[in-house]
Amino acid sequence: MNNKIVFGSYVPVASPLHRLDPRMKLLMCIWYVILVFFANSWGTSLWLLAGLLLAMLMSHVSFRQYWQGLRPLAWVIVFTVAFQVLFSSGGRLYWHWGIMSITHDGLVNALIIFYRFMVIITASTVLTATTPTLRIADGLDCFMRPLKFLRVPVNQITLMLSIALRFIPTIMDEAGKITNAQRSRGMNFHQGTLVQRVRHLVPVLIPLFVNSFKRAEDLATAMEARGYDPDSPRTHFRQLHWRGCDTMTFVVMVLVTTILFLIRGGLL
Amino acid sequence: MVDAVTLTNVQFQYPNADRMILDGVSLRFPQGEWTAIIGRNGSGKSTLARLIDGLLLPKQGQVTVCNLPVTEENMTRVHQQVGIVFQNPDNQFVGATVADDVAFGLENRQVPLAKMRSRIQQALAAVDMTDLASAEPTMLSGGQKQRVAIAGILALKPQVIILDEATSMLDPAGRQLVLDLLQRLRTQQQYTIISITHDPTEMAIADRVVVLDGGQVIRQGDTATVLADVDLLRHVGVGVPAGQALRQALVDRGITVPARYFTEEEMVRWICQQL
Ligand SMILES: Nc1ncnc2c1ncn2[C@@H]1O[C@H](COP(=O)(O)OP(=O)(O)OP(=O)(O)O)[C@@H](O)[C@H]1O
Ligand SMILES: [Mg+2]
Repeated sequence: MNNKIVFGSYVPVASPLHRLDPRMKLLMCIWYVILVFFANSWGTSLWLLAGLLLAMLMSHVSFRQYWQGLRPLAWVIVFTVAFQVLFSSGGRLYWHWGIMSITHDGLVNALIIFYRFMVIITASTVLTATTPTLRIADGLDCFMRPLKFLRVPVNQITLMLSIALRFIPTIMDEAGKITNAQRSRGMNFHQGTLVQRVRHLVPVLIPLFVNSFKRAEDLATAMEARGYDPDSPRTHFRQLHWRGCDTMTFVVMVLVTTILFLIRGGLL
Repeated sequence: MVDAVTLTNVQFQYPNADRMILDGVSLRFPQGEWTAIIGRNGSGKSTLARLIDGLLLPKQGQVTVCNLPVTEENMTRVHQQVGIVFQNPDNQFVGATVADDVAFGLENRQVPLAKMRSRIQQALAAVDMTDLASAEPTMLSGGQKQRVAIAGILALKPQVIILDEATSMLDPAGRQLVLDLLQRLRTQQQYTIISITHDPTEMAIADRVVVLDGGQVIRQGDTATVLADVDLLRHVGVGVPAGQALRQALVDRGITVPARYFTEEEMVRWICQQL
């Protein structure tokens, strides 16, 4: 349980990447995803891949753990790539059967899609593995702050987001408990046709919903009792600190971008 | 003595419920004293706590907190005077970590960051949770969450502290820790403590006891007088404190014991004298 990560979960180890400001990491991740779409050759693609590998090494999270995190998505990737290979056309034809064919352009497209898929998902896994979800929410809060002038209730939205994140494990726990309770009453979740199995979920989902509503009501009462007023200003206990290493990371990011465009322009 | 909280002829009914949950309740909670509220499940204890904090408004009658009528307009100030630790520790955990949760109330009161740190530290130390300051709620046991909830209220330093079965999940050492803490707070005479409890030890420590039954106050008075009435305690189905239970057992065997309230200590001493 401890060293196994599911997609998007945080891995609590100490690393230079863990210590970075969430705003920097969020910016870096978003920027990287944009850059991936500018990679148009072997050189540019490998350059960006090298950048990602460096970040993965600096995160002190093992490749095995990253792979465990990605594995649930493997089927989606395989399916998309296979679809590209079999159903796109153009260039030399290698094989065909009915509407399916393997062509040169199809293979190239599939490779590009495979690359983008893997690299983008891995980059976001690096972000979530090195940053607790709540810190990501803090970073988002900061980026969304300018929206306040458009009367978007940024504080409420981010508080809502962080409470929702905080309750996901609690509700998962509860789903487990209810499932066990039903099982102890003789319910078998692993038998029967698909329709029967789906029907077996009803006695799990109904108590889960009812409990969640009750929980939300209790939570709202508790928040009110502790003086929460959505319209009043609040101070913030969790602060973000921009430090030297964040600025350095920013410089590295600018360098990576510059070199990428130099390679792309044929100057390197 | 000044009253921190008063209720005058309060009636309350939940919307779309046919039964009156509280019916004509009048109570006074003297400032600086510790009052225990006891009564069977569903007798309206938690409802009473919510009425005091203005989380529910009475259908009839009046509630005042520190001379402030509990009404919509005064709500912010009422919430500042009263701190409630609710019955279910899971549903009052707002923060992402223990420290964040304790900070929540302070953030709402716009306490500056520098002060917040020390108050959170103090509050966590008081409930012996300093080591777990950065733990996430899923990693905590029920009792640990109750400690955090208590710390969250202590950090706010309210005039009136209401504990709704707040020690029900604590281990004996943890419960003793919280009770000792409350006793220390009582000696400072600034805090008015209202504890809703089924625990005989906890009620025996209080200064006064209020017994709720069927939506009404059927008995109130100082602890010794109320807890001496073993028949009443049995009637409302609450536990009898150890000293009283022992006294009753002796009486049932035909031994004459003075008809007054005995703590466990006093009972032991009395028996030793008889030997
Ligand atoms: N939100 C609600 N809506 C309708 N009825 C409610 C609601 N909350 C509580 N009640 C009813 O009000 C009555 C008193 O509830 P309350 O929670 O005050 O009891 P309690 O004395 O705190 O009990 P316990 O010892 O179990 O905590 C119960 O009969 C309950 O069914
Ligand atoms: Mg209750």
